[in-house]
Amino acid sequence: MAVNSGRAIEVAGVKKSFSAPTGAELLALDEVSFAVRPNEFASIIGPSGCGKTTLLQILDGLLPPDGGEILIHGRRVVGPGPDRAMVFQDFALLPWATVLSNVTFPLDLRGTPRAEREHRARQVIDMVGLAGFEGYYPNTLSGGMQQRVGLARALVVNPDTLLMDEPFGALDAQTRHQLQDELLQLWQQHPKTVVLVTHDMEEAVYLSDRIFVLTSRPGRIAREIVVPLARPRDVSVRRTAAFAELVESVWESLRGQAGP
Amino acid sequence: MFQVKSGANTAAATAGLAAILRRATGHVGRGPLQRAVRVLSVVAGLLIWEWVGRRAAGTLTVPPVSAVFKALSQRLLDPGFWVAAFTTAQALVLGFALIVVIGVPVGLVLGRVPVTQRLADPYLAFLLAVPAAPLVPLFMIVFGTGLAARVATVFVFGIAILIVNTAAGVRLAPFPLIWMAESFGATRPQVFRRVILPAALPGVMAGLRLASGRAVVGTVVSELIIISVGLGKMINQYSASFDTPNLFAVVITVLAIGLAVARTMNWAERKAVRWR
Repeated sequence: MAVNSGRAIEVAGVKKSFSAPTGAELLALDEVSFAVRPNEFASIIGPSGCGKTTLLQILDGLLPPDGGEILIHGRRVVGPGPDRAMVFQDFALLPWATVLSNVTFPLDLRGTPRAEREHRARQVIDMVGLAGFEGYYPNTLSGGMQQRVGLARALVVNPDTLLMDEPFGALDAQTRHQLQDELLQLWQQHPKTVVLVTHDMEEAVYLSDRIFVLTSRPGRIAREIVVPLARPRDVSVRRTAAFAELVESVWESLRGQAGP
Repeated sequence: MFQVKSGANTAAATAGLAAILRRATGHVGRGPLQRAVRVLSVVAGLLIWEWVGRRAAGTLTVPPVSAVFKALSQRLLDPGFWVAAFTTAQALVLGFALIVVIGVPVGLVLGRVPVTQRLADPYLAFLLAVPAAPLVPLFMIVFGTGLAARVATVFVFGIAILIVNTAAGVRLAPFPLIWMAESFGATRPQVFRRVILPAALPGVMAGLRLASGRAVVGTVVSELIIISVGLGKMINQYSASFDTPNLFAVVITVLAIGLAVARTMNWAERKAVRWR
């Protein structure tokens, strides 16, 4: 552990291919390598279909890589673990469960006693600004509120690493901005290692310490962009020249990556 | 604005289907006006019936509604009527219980294991497409003319629709939810119990409601055409003796049983999937 103390996540030579319906092998990820420091906010950005989500699922342990390995705090990932929690693009809330039950779900699976899981759930529900909505069903909530539930569900297990798969991609622009601000504040108050998959350049620059640009077919890390914007940040940073330049440089790296 | 909800299309389609089915089984509206219109419709129907019955007096075809209700009140005081009703209810309850106990597990397996679905498909298609009534004589040969044959008839009428709906419900379990559960460390049994079963519940409940309706039909058919017992036997007897007021009284009883079963299942379905 001590050897890897500078690296919370280490992705080394990860390969993944899928068989297309035609029978042909499709190389989705090719020799992807990068490292994320403890409590660093890292983003993976790339065109659609570049294997971003696949990479995140491999990090989560939902999919095994065909080659290479992933070390989290020096331990090899062989499956999902309690040190990681995922926030999903389509929220993935249980429609038959209330907000409270959705948030306690990961703790139910682990057999946490009822009083404790409800106490912890209410804490994170409060953190994401949903206090008072504990008894609501997901389909009575707006998309933004549903994703707050998704975020609370990930936070309730108190993971070292938060994996976020285009968490705000399904939201309208206004709600997306608001949730980005809230995530930023939350992360600045309670730092964690975060890997955010996104196709939104401004979102990546606004939130991240580092951005990895992924090429498409096969997915490779094309470039690593350090975001030197001072912490703590807030909305005002979006209007600075430095912010615009960083977005421009991400755009430059992405240009020409988009497939035919 | 542009909020995309997971599985919105399937959910909407299923909700739409549920609404159509609910409408078809009698839940059009709950406002006082709708209620008044329905009461009015029934009253008007009864008045027309009475009028037609009186015009047709002496022809033994349509008895006036007043005569039918007089016969019904007499029957309700007749122990023989209650024995017959019990006999009918027995086959219905036992048959439906058998449908539930076998249909739900079989549907769950078919929904989970595609090869079993393919194996069962021809038989389910047969049971759904072909009227089950011609099978009743076969059950008489196998089970005799007792309770077992009638229970078997009820079973065959209702089983396929429950299996098909349960299996469809299981297949509706959205993959993103299964992945989510696995991501949070759910074991396979936990995924089944915590995600697939609840996701299948609307399908199971719809299947139970449809199966209950078919079970009522199966009960009546078995008693009416082959194994003459219970209310079916009473219908046959009153029919043979042209005792139309009593005939209608028993028919109304059968209709009331069917309506009560449908209402109960509707209520249970709404309770079970109230998150919709």
